[in-house]
This record gives sequence, structure tokens and C-alpha cells, in this order.
Amino acid sequence: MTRSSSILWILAVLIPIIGIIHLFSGVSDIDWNTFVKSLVNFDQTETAEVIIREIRLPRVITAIVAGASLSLAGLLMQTLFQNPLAGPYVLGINSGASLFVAITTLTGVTFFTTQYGLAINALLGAFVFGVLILFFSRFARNHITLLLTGVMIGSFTSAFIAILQQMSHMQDLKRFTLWGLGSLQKVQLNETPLLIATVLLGTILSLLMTRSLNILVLGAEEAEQHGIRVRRLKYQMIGITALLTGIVTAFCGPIAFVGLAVPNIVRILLKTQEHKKLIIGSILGGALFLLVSDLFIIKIEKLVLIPINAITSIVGAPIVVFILFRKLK
Amino acid sequence: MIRIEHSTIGYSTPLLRIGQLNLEKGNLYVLLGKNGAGKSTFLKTLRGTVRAIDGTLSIDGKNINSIALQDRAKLVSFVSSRPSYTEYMTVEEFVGLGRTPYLNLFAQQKESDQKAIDESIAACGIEKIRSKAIDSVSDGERQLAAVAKALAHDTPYILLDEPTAYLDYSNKRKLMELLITLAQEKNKCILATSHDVELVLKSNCSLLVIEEKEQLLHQVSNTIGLDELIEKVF
Amino acid sequence: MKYILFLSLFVLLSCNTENTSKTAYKSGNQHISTLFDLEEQENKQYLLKIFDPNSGDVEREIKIDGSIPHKVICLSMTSLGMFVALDQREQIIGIPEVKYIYDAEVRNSFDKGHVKSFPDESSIGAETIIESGADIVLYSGFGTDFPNAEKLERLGIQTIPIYDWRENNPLGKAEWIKIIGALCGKSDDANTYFDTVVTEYNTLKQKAETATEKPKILSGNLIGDTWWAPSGESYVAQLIKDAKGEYIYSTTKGTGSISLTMEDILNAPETDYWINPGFETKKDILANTPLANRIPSYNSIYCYSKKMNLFWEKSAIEPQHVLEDLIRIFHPELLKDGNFYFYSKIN
Repeated sequence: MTRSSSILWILAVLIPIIGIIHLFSGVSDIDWNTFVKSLVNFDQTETAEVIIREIRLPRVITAIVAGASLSLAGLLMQTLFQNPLAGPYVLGINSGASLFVAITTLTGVTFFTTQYGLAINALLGAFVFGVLILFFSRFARNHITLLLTGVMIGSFTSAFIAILQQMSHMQDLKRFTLWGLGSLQKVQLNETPLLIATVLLGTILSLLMTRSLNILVLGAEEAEQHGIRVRRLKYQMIGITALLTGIVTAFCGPIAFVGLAVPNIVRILLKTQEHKKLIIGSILGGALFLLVSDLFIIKIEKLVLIPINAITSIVGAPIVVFILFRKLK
Repeated sequence: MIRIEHSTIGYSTPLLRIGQLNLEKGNLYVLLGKNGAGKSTFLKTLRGTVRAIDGTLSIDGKNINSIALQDRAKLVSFVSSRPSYTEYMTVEEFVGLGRTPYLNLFAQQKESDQKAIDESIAACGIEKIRSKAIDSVSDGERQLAAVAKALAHDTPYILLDEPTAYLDYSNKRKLMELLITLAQEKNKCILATSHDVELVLKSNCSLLVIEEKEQLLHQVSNTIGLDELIEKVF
Repeated sequence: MKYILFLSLFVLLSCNTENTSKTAYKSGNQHISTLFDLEEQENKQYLLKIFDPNSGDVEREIKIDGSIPHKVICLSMTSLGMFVALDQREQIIGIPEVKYIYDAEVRNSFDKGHVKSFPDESSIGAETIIESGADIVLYSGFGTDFPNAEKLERLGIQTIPIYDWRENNPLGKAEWIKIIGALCGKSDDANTYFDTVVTEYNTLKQKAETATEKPKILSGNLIGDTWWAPSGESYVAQLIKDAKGEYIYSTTKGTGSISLTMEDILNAPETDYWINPGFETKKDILANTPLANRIPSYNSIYCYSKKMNLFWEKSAIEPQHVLEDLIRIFHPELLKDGNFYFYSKIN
């Protein structure tokens, strides 16, 4: 077994282990029997069953799916822009989702106030901003320029959102503000199939692009020379990124740095540009990253309650700086 | 065979004209010309990324612009003067990317692919560095790896844009000899551009020149004297 | 402005106030608040001392002149209610955004252009204030000092913080009306008003004492992933206690708020009533807290959210009515007649 496949196996084995530890961590002690009973013969008057089935299970699933989705989206962005600093958050794809969500929640258009309306909007926003950054990327001469463009798009969007906030009703504002904090705990059990389907679809579509992604690493010209329709490919990549980012953002709010940090860690660990491995590695790594982060939150919640974005940023931001220094040497 | 008849090459304004030119398999052609004379544009035209202003350009009897992208990828390969590369990639993986047009969507390599890669690496004499990272080898080695990638790409036509530009003298000679050997032994039609008149004259290749004043691209005999060649090109 | 309101929700729950200062009271009959002291020095000239809630030291001293009419920009919503209660609306020239105003007469003056709207204290411009011709600005002071307070002072514009929200005693909160009274030259009215409030409040409190049952009460809601509940020594906890409810977190320390997880809430003792979830409908509650329907008191939720503007304007100066509402919720048998002032059942 090669080094890279052993790493992938380790990640794959760690996820269920950490997942189960996560499932059985919390304020109250819940045993395995209660968990099984809550699945097969749910009694909604039993507090312990409600807690494990309706609080912990969706939270574990959400952590896995959101981590996998965002990290895969980040990998696609990095390959698309040939830039290790790319990611849905830094390039303003999240901002797109936020803006569209803001427009609809804050202006009170009722169609969009359902969870699915929100998802559609976030997806649309993510796609529009993805295309926007794709357009700007033509003029960006280097990694930093593209990154700054993303940051500027983000600031520009925040300004619009601030204006919308000023004009909105308190109730709407409250909902939007809370959404903006980012959370793995807002997803309900009956919504998890949609999230799982999204990440599966994204994974399959990405794996189907393996051949194209491998050569795209060397640039658009090389890819075209080897028979890849690069223009179409790029839109497909933006589409998948928007799907993954949009759905996760709609359900969990913006979650920072996962998409940027994880694929980079995976690439450094696997030491490869082979996208079959990178895709699988990013999915597993992203899932594990959010799972461990969230478990950490649970473990210290008796001392202090911290939001998920605080953890991902504490880990993610230094990685960006590390990559920056490495690249700018 | 690449066949060009009464063609004008350029973007919106003509850069150069070609009367009649046939490029055949088994030969190494070297195109000499000043910087800016239109060498790269000519290569781009052959690669299908720039359209000729007028005239006929065909590869194996098919009009260049009517060949589908995927089909063209199996006809023409290209090596740039500074091949792009990336971190976390071995020389072998880099060469393996040349197999892209023949792989399935999941990029699974078959035995035949691995064989082509091994042969290409052997032909270019880079067995020793095959497991090294592509970003850690020298410029000369990387250029050889790029040629190996084009070989693994396994197309009858290989185009190289100034392949020797960034190499030292001994590597320049080595590469020219390699290209001639490949053309002859593997029966390929190889076209390289250069502005290194001396290097080219010492090699046993077919000469193409772009005459600056007349903006004309044509073939010259390789017995031409150095002075005359310099006169024509510069 | 919305931020301030939103923030004030937090602050209501989270500010820390300690009862450490003990000062004799010279103006008015009863003095309950420990956070300020108001002394009449000569005819309608007052000295207001504001104490630091933690140390009890004097934080600010402000001279108040009640002998002349003022032009007041009132950015503190509760103070606006105090002007209304003392019928001194004519001294107000500036208010927060009109959509948060309850009082019909104030809204009317706004429509006629006698009163103008101002942005919240964090974004209000000094020039706007000077331009308006105001001589006093009342603000809540949730953040730091009022911007450009010193410069305004030199131009003769006084900025006075109304820290009623720091109080954890409902009556102490209401007592801040005395400051508005002094400002308007209506100290006697303010004192009378306050005495009535105290009497009514205590009467209701005694009435609640007669109840036999002591229902268990849940308060607060999820904000993000955290359930913020008032601490055991907070304003809300005091009201619940006076209404003879058993607040499930009454033994927690502090006057601010405690942060809990959703799991904590589900594991908490079974509650009979859930107050102040901060939403108008169960649909909104569920959107914010998907598992809210697993809380035992889900079918007995009460909040002032349908009368938000009224609540902000009046709840501080009518603590007896807040108390009455809570008694009506916890012990409907004690108050057969009458209706809710602020609260309503959330459906």
C-alpha cells in the first residue's frame, strides 16, 4: 500500500470513530441501547432519545457533510484558479450566497423564507459570484491579486448587506444575523438526506472530472492541448462549487476556512496532484476536520461555549499565512 | 503530413505569408526567425488556437479548423519554451499527463499507458530522475521531461516553441540530437522554433526561415552557409 | 437603532450590577436604586451621581438644570416613555426611528415635523446634533462614551446616559423617571409617580404570595447555538420570583445571563411556562429553535413580542404591569378580571 492510500485509509477509519465519540459526547450520558432504540423505536417523550436522535445525530451528520462539501469545493477552486489560496470563503463565493440570502430574508419576500427557498438562493448567489470571480480571474496576474479581488468582492458585498440590514425589520434582521454566525446545529434530521445527497452528487461529478482536473493543474493551455474543453470544464467546476457551498451555506451559514485549509493540508500530506486521491482526501479530511473541531467545542462547552467559526478560523487563518509565506519566498 | 498552401498567418494584421509548405513525418524541422517574426503565432495556428487569415492548412488531409478538439489532441502535441509544472508531482507523473487524451474520465492508467510512459522516459534518457519532484529538477531535465510528456502524448506531430531557449549549450545539443533521433526512429514530424542559427546549422535538420523583410516563411536547403542564413533571417 | 434594540436584549440579560453602594436619599420619599443618586442643591438645580455597578464608586457627576425648558434628543427608548408618563413630550425634539415609537402623540409630532428621527448613538453625527438646536441628549450608553461628548459639552449640549438597563431590581429601573422629572422641572410629579408604582408593585407581589402553586419557569431563547437565559440574580429572575414563579435557573450566580446548550435545556427540569422567547409566532420559534416543540412548556409560551414598541417604551416605568402580566400567566386564578398589558400567548 502506498503512503497516500494508507493516509486515506487512516482518515476513512478515523471518521466513524470520531463520529461515534462525538455522538456520545455531551451534557448527558446516553448509552448505545438508547441510541439504537431512538432509531428503531423512537419515543419522543424520552428526553435522552430526543437528544441523541434529534440533536446529536443531525449535528454529527452535518459536521461530516459540511466539512466534506466545503473542503471539496475548496479543492475545486484551487485547481480551477491554479491557486492554493483559493477557497469558497476567501474568493467571495460565500459572500454571494450571503448576499442572496440577505436580499431574500431581509426584504421579506415570503417565497424564499422556507429552508429550501433559502438553499436555492444561496446556491444561486454562490453560482453568480463564482462566475464573477472566474471573470475577474482573467485579469488577475498572480495568486495575491486574485485573493485580493475575492476580499474586495467580500467587502463590497458586506456593504450592500449592511445597507439591507439598515432597511430591514428587526425580526428579519435577527434571523439573518443569527444565520450569519454559522452553526452545525440548525440542521434537522429530516433535512440531512438533502445534505448527504448534495455531497454525494458533488463527489461523483468531481470524480468524473478527474482526468480533466489532473491536467488542468498545469494550466488551461496544457489542458486544451490534451483535448479538454477548458471553458466548459471551468463552468462545470463553478457549478459544483456553487452547489456544495450554496447548500451548506444555506443550512449552516457561512463557515470559514475549511475549504481553504483542508485541501492544502491534504495535498501536503499526500504529496500528489492526482485528483482522485485529492478529491477523496479532501472529502475525508474536511469531514474529519469539522468533526474534530465540533467535538472540541462539545468537550469544552462546560467551560466556555464557542462558535464553530471561531475554531475553523483559529486553525484556518494560520494555514493561509503559512502558504502565503511559502509561496512568496 | 501537414500541408500549407497560400496562407497568411497572423491575428487581425498579417504577420507572415506561406506559399507552399509540406511538413512530413520522419523529419525534424527547425523554424528560424527573429523574435516577434511570428514563430509562436505560426505554431499556435498549427495547434488550432489561432485561425489563419486565409489559405489552406491541413493535417493528414483534414482542414485544421475542422478537426475536433479531442481529435486534434491525438494528432498534435506541444512543448512550450517554459513548460508549466507544479509542486507535489514526480517527473513520472508529469510525463504521465501526456496520456490524458487516452484515459477514461477517472484517469485510470492501463498497462499500455504505463508502457508508453516508460518508453518515453527511456527515449529521453531521464530514468534517473523519474521519481524526483518535477519542481526540484534542473531546467534542462524539466525540458527533457516535457519532451517525454509530448512523446507519451503519442501524436504523429510534435511542436516545440523555442525548446532550447533556456538551456545551456551542452543541453541544447543534447536536445537537438534527441529530437532528430525521435523524428527518425519513431517516424514523427517534429517542428521546433529557434533563433539560434549556429546550433541549428550544426544539426542535421530541415530548415525553415521567416524572412523579415518579405514576411515570408519558406524552406531552405540545409547546406546553406551561415552568412547567407543570417542574412535571410536577420 | 435596530442594533441597539437587539443589543439591549442582550444587555438586559447580561449586564452586571452589584448592590454595593449605600447612599442616603435626599430627593423624593423612597430610594430603591443603588445606581444613581439625585440631589436638589438649590431651586430646581440638581446634582446627579451615577455609580459604577461593580465598584459602587461615583462614575459620573452631572448637573441638571430643571428651571428652564429644554430641547431634548431622546435616544433612549425607556426615557421616552418617562417623558410620556410625565406628559412632558413638548421638551423632546429628537427621537429614535419612528417605526419603533409607540406613543401616538409623539408619532403625530413626528408626522407634523415638530420632532425629528435620529440614528442610534453609535452612528449619530455631532453636526446633526448641533444643527438640531438640542441642548440635551439622552442615550442608553450600551457602548462606550457618547461620541464627541466633550465637544458637544463645550457647545453647551449635555449628554446624559440613562442606565436604567443596568438595574436588576424592577423598581430601581422605574426610579430613573426621577431624573427625567428633575430635567423637566417636574420632580414632584416623578416622585408621586414612582411612589404609586412602588405601592402597586408591592401590593401585587403580596397578592402573588397567596398562590399555592409555584410553577416552573423557563426563559430566554437560542441565539446562534447558545441558549441565553437570565442569571439567578437578574431583573427577569427577580420579576419571576415576585410573581411567585420558580425560575429553573434561580440558583445561578450573577446578574447577567448564563449560556447553555440545547441539550441543557432538554435535560432541564420540566417547565410549566416559557417566557420571553423573543419571537411573535411558534413558526418563528421553530425556525430559530427546531427542537422547541420538545420543550415541555412549548404549549405555554408567553412573550411581549407582539407589543414590542409598547414594551420598550413602558416596561421600565411600569414594572407593576409587567409583574401583573407574569402573575396573570403563572396564577390566572388570582387575577380574574383585566387583560395583559404587554404579554400575549404565542401560538
